[in-house]
Amino acid sequence: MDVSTTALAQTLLNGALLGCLYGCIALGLTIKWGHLGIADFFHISVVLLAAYITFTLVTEAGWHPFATLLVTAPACFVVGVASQWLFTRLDADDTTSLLLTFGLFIVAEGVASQLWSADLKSMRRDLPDGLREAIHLPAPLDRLAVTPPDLLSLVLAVVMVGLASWSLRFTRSGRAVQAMRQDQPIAEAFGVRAAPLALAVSGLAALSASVAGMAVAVKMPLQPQLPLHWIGVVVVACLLGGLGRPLGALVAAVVLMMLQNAWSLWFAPQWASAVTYGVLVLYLAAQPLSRVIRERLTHERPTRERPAVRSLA
Amino acid sequence: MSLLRCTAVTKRFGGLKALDGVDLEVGAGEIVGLVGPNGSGKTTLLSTIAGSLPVSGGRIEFQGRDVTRLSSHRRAHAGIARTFQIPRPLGSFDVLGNVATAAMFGRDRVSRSEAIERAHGVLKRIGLDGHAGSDVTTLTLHEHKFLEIGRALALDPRLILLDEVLGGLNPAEAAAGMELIASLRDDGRSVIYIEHNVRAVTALADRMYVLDRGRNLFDGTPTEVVGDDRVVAAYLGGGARA
Ligand SMILES: Nc1ncnc2c1ncn2[C@@H]1O[C@H](COP(=O)(O)OP(=O)(O)OP(=O)(O)O)[C@@H](O)[C@H]1O
Ligand SMILES: [Mg+2]
Repeated sequence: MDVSTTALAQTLLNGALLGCLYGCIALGLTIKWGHLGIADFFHISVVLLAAYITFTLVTEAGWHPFATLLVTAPACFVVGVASQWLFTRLDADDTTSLLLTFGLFIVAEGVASQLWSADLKSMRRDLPDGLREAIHLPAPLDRLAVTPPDLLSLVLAVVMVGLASWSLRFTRSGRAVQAMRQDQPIAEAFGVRAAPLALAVSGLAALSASVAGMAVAVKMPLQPQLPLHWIGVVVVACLLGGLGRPLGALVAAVVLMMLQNAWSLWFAPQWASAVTYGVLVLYLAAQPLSRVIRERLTHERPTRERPAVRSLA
Repeated sequence: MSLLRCTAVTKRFGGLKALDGVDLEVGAGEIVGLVGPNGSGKTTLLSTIAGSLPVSGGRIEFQGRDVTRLSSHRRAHAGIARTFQIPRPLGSFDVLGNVATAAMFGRDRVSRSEAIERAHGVLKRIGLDGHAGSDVTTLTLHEHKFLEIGRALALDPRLILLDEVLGGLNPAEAAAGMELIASLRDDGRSVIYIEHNVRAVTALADRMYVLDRGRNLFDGTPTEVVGDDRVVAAYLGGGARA
């Protein structure tokens, strides 16, 4: 049961980088869930479909993986806009939209098996050299190595999550989205154009699936059941990170994957995914406790002088 | 020409006719009082004017333009702002953020920094400048009500719809509120002012409308309204607190 420090560090590092990939996948979901009120599990399938399209363009048409975004990004955007339009048209309540997205999630697996078969599809051999060779970290960490696909996940996660968080917090449209999420009639009475805004948010959230899909295709062999492996971590990361908070979801995904990987070092790996749910259960159990503590604290504090955490200025 | 003209506005909720052919007109720079017993349709009329509720029939014109089918954000851009009878601040923004958000998307397109500047001005005017950074949950009832007025004012509206903004306030607070409402007229804005308390309305309003069970019961100057037997009867019948 002796695990070397290097092995542990490498395992944690791999977990963190895989967490970045999950953070990319969770980004669109947490935004739709938190800001549009739709738990769109189909988003996770869209990631896989985008990955398959990337795979096809790279292996059959010889495209560079990055170039495939020219096709998948607009396609995903349209899917996002169309799905939001449909939900608005149907005036779907929470249960209906959940059933609908879950149905699509299931159907997508079948569609993927039909189009790309149930076999593992890897485009590793077709990748440009720069995306294949492992990179050693500089000293004193030179015993640790990362792969270019992992680095790509990291960079994409940082860029996409950073951009999303910044826009939500500091732009006019971000303000509008926050107002709309809290109280749509009020936001509209202020002059916020809620309907087009919701379409745009949904489109952009779905667009992130194309980027995540590209990162997936570069990193791992594809198979139609992948979303079933992802959904646990992605959903739990969204919940733990706070719905609608891209950075929260990313951090949660990174922590969860580090925990899972560390678990596999000492215990049976097939139980690793249970770690994720264990963390969720602990978190939910801790919720009432933390609320009690928070209420105690705020009662004792002179509330007037509380600093403006979310001040605009 | 009048600023707002409602003609035969009807609103049904299922079998219930909350508004049954209501007419109402507001001139530029006028404070119009809207009174009536509980459930007479005052809030509903306000919502149809603001576009928060679609009408079942009738016509609403604003500045000579038919706005009956216009969505509420379009009406906000056109210059109609409303408050809500039960204050509905946005909880994740502080007091300044609530007002600034309204300023940002109102009548004219305003940048973030400009909106914040304008919001500071509004907070000063409604006497909440000391609470700019406060969490909205820390506000008292009268501060909540003033914040409602402030948010509407931040849109820089031509017509401002106030729904019982003085209800539940103590006399000093109500007096401050009445002064604030009178100052809106001095800006050149028009006001529709719903209040249960007829006396507060008569002190401020240029003209008044009385609704009863979704219909126009009476309209005229405040003096005419308080002197009218039908109004007195409707109020006594409806359980008045004049
Ligand atoms: N969303 C709704 N759905 C169904 N009925 C409604 C709705 N809103 C209002 N009503 C009904 O319409 C009628 C008029 O209501 P409204 O709120 O306009 O009255 P009000 O004059 O503002 O009363 P109050 O003085 O109590 O505020 C009432 O009978 C009310 O129950
Ligand atoms: Mg009312």
